[in-house]
Amino acid sequence: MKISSIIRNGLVKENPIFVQLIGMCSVLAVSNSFKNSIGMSVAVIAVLTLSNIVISIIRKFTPDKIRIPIFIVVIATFVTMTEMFMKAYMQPLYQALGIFLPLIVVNCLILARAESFASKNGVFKSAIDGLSMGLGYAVAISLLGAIREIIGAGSIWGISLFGESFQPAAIFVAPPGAFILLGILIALYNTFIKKRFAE
Amino acid sequence: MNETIKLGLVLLLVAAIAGGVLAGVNSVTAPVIAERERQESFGALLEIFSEADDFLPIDEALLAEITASNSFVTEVMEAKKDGETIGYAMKTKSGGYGGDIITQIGINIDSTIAGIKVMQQSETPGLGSRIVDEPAFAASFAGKDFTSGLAAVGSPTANNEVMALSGATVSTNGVMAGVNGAIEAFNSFLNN
Repeated sequence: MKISSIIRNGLVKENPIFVQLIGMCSVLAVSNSFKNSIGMSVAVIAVLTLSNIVISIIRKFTPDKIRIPIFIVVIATFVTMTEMFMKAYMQPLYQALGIFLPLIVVNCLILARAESFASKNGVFKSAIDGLSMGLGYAVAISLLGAIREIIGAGSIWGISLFGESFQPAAIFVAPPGAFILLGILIALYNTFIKKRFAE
Repeated sequence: MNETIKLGLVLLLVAAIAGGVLAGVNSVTAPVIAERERQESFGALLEIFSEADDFLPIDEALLAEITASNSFVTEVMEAKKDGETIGYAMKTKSGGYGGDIITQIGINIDSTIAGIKVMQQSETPGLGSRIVDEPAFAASFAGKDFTSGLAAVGSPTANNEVMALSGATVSTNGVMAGVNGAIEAFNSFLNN
């Protein structure tokens, strides 16, 4: 597989959120503000890329029967590291992400890439795949976070946009708003972007 | 049989390496986290006792006695102003909906609450997390008289009523448990 198609797969064609619909739990829960979305994106990109690299390195020594526990140990290690670093150096973000940071361990996006890509491909390609899939996730969750914050709270990155008189549609920062908006975004994706990849 | 042992050993090796790496990272980040928590803790103390000029840990034997009989209180500091004790700042740990809630509670020596601040929590974002997101919640404790006990109600008016968050009963109760634990410790050991 060519590098360019790996990148395109991760970002658009096989976008983990809009197309594969995996790893949705954190996407729906954390995207209530743009800032949280970016924070979550950074954590997921870091964990996904690093775990892909390590799993690709050890793929030849990993016995097939116990590959899943080994993948989970590797992923959990990186998640815990990310958690420790965030707690030490990015305390407010650590607070905001709360339980969803450690839950990256069971995010099926990470395990899916380990199983379907990193365990079968070389280190460099796996790194690119992790980065692209992570960016695909980041694009989706950031878009969701930005729109939810603008409509639902009338602000972006915590900065008020429309002044005091603006009455935000609070449902968009609540969980139902995430589902509604995600549905709309997927519909738009299917209408305008998907057909470009139709064979 | 042999294969099972081999697989077990491989997994053991992977887990051991992971553990070693994490221990390394932890040794770097743990002091930073501890220092940050200490600073935040002192900052919270000042937020609660704005008049105090010094905070001193209480006698260790007394603290041991308090923690032995009280399952919530973990830390007690004396708030001093011009050498006089004006109150006690206690750190409590109580169960919430999503894990432990660590609350810093200030108690004035005249049996009123100086203030509270939730230091650490992992409650449901948007629901239970309002114990920190809504400043009015913590603010509703300040100045309240607890001689006859505190009550959490929807819209507090009386001098022994604090705010209960609707939709976050377990989280509210978690904080209340810590506050009542601190009151209990104050009444039994420190109020003289």
